[in-house]
Amino acid sequence: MAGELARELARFPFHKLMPDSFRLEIASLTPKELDVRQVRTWVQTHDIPKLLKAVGSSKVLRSFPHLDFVFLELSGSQLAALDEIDVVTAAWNDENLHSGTSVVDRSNQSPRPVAVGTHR
Amino acid sequence: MWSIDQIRAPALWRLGLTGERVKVGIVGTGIDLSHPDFRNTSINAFSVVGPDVSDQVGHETGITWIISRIAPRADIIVAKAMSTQFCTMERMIECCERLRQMNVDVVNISLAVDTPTDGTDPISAEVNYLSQNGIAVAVAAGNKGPKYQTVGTPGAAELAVTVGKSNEHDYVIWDSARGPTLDGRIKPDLVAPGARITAAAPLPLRRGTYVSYECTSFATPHATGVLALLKQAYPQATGAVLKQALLASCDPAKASLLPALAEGAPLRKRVTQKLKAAFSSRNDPRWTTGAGRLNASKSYEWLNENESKSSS
Repeated sequence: MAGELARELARFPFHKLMPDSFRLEIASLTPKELDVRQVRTWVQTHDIPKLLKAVGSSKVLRSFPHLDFVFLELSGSQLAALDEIDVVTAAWNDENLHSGTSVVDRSNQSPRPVAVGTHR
Repeated sequence: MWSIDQIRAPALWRLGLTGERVKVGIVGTGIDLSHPDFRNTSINAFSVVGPDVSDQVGHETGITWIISRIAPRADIIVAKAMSTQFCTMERMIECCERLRQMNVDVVNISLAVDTPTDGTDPISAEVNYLSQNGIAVAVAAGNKGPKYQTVGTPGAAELAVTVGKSNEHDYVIWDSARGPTLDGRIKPDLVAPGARITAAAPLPLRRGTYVSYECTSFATPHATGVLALLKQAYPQATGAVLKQALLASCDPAKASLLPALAEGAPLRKRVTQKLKAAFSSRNDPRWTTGAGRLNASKSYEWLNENESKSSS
């Protein structure tokens, strides 16, 4: 099953887009949709100046040289072209982190105090 | 609190360890500094989403409270990265970098992207960078189990201490995220109490002063608190060594076979899924439990033995 999926994925272009769900989302767009779509992406590269020369520095939202990542806003077609730039290792989707909490119960009762007297 | 007793933090208090002179950074929704339980705790806060550091969501106030119960004299710095339940990657990295510049020793990240990764994404890279700079980073595994390969980022970061959730009987909770990572590494690294965890509620939620949570977000501060106590005992120990101490000293934990009562799926379906998962020979139990359940006392003993060996 996993091998089958890997074979299917290998047929898609945009090999550097990560994760696979992002790659599939971009691969499913028509050329016209690619042109109008603006995408925020995290591009991993070992050569930031060369990358900026290739994509244009106006596309840079922020650069994180200590991580070898540049945060860019590109059109879908520019994103697709990243595959051809040799200094690009990967391009990650800009996803939000979330705090997933399930509240079980509310109470006014303080839990048993611990380490009494050790607070400042 | 049962959870603090279970991880044997009181054994370290008896040795005089309280987190003193240890800086703990917490990234998330901000903090309600008006909660009466924070009166005697050293807490500073900053925000990268405006001037207000208050917690409108009710997440990091509870997390800060748990850390302050375990390491009551730690210097806590809360980095507010979001005003809602969601935080951009950019803000997260900004908070982590500011905490690094403030020389924190331990960082707690109870936030996650649920999409599984191989740990090369930007958030994992930042967490690894913190660790390479000597900082111990505890991160939540997420709540997307019981399927395998459900650890997202930053849980997949190689150098993070990735924490799943267990209950008072050392069973891993049904929906705690499972490993391995997409590149086949074992995650979570360990489990800690994350069911029926009582913690302080911030003002917007304060119909009661305390709230009971069930989430890997609230298992993570147990590991963070213990890391702070160990850092006080061994200030020279790097984040990587502290992680090694936690992983080498866990108590056994078990994958739960009980149906998740809180879930809406029909009982038969849930039981069938659990049995399938339990009896599949290809599944490594460490993808569920990691090294096992956190034990502060044994971690201290491990450090005591190994640090004295390395210094002699």
